Amino acid sequence: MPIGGLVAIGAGIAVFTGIGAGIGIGYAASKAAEGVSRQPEASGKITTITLVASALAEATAIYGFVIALILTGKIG
Amino acid sequence: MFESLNAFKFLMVALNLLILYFIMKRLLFKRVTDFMENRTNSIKESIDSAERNKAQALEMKQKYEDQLRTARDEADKILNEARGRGNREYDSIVAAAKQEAERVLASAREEIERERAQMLKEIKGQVAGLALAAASKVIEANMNTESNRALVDKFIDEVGAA
Amino acid sequence: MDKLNNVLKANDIFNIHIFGLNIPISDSIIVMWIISVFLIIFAFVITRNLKTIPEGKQNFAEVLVEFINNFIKDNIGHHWRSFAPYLGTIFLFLIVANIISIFSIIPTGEELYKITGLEFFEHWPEFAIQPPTKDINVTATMGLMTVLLVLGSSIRFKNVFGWLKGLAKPSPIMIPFNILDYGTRFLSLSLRLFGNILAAFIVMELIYGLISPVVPAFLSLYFDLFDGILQAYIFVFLSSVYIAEAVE
Repeated sequence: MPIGGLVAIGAGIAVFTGIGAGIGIGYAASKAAEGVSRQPEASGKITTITLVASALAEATAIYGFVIALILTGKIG
Repeated sequence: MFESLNAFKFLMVALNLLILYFIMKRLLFKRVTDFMENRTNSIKESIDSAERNKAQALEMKQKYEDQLRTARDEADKILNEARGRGNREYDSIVAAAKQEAERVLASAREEIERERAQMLKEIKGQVAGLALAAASKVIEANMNTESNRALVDKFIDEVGAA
Repeated sequence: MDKLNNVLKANDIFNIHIFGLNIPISDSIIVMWIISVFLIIFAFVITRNLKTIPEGKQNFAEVLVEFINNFIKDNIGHHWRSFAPYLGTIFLFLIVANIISIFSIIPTGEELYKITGLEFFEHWPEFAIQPPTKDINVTATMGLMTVLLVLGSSIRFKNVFGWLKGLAKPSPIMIPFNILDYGTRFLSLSLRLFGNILAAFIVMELIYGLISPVVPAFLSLYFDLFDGILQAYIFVFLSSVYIAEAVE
């Protein structure tokens, strides 16, 4: 098996970090929805916090994406 | 990807951002922030001074009212005093006048009394004289009777009583 | 694949030779220059003849500066005055830089000369109007500047001993981790920005390749505008959080 194929598989695996980010963002969003339904008047603040938290949770997915990019650069 | 990392590009980007930072700080952030703070301060100051002026005016009004009240009180006092003094003077004058009048009246009465007494005495004398003259005239004619004598006495008494 | 490599590759337009050094100028740096000039003109226009009673563009300037000041005040506290201009500049720069691919239809170089026919554009270099933040050089520099700012402000407001004491904060065992923290902050700040913008850019390129009219416009709203502004906000938010932690 040529090395390029293994690298491509590795790149694909690296993108699995997206799972963690997805779970994190989903959890943040569900809690945000709960918070808004409990206190509708605080929805503005909750939206901001949710966006920031989602962006922070997204970081892991971004790291995986960057690793995948580095690996795809090694193929050619 | 990481092959494209280049120290010169780092420098260029950093230089670009720093220059942008200094210009934006000068032109936008510091200027507008200072401007807004100055405006806030000046508004606060003018409100403060207005409050101060209002307080001062209130104080002045209070003072003037106090002064007015004391002046009115003073005037009342003076008026009352003057009225009191006038009344006292009036009373004393009236009393004095009354006294004088009484004195005058008394003296006038005394005078009258005295004059009357004198006049009475004079009249009594004259009447007596007159009676004597009349009597002597009567006597010349008919003065020996008892009844005539009584008549004369009676006449004298009557005249004296009058 | 070639297209992806093209996106990742530094597209050096020309070189500057100074003091015997060979400084490559890539299109991201040229776009940065354009953004800087645009921001400076923008700032100059909206702050011209400030009046006590604001009207028109002055309202906009005041709202903008007040928003940034309040944002920094909320996060940093009473040292906000030292950091608001820097973080505000980074914020404005990142907003414009992240959403600039909206203007990618504006031609450059030869094409611009052909369309406008102006002599001025004849020797205009041909470069792509793409977000400079999809260049790892730019985001790494920004992350590095933020980390240096955190370090510098920590030393300045707490002096060297306070900073050293802060390194051994929960217990002296944590010293290596606290030092490592600076490295991870640098990496997370620069890679988050870089990865987000690059991912959005690649996704948009793929969409442009697949479906041509109408649909990309709506997707562009999310990938270019929303994501770009959100990432700018998050970069500044995290920077201010780090600074607040350093100066407290």
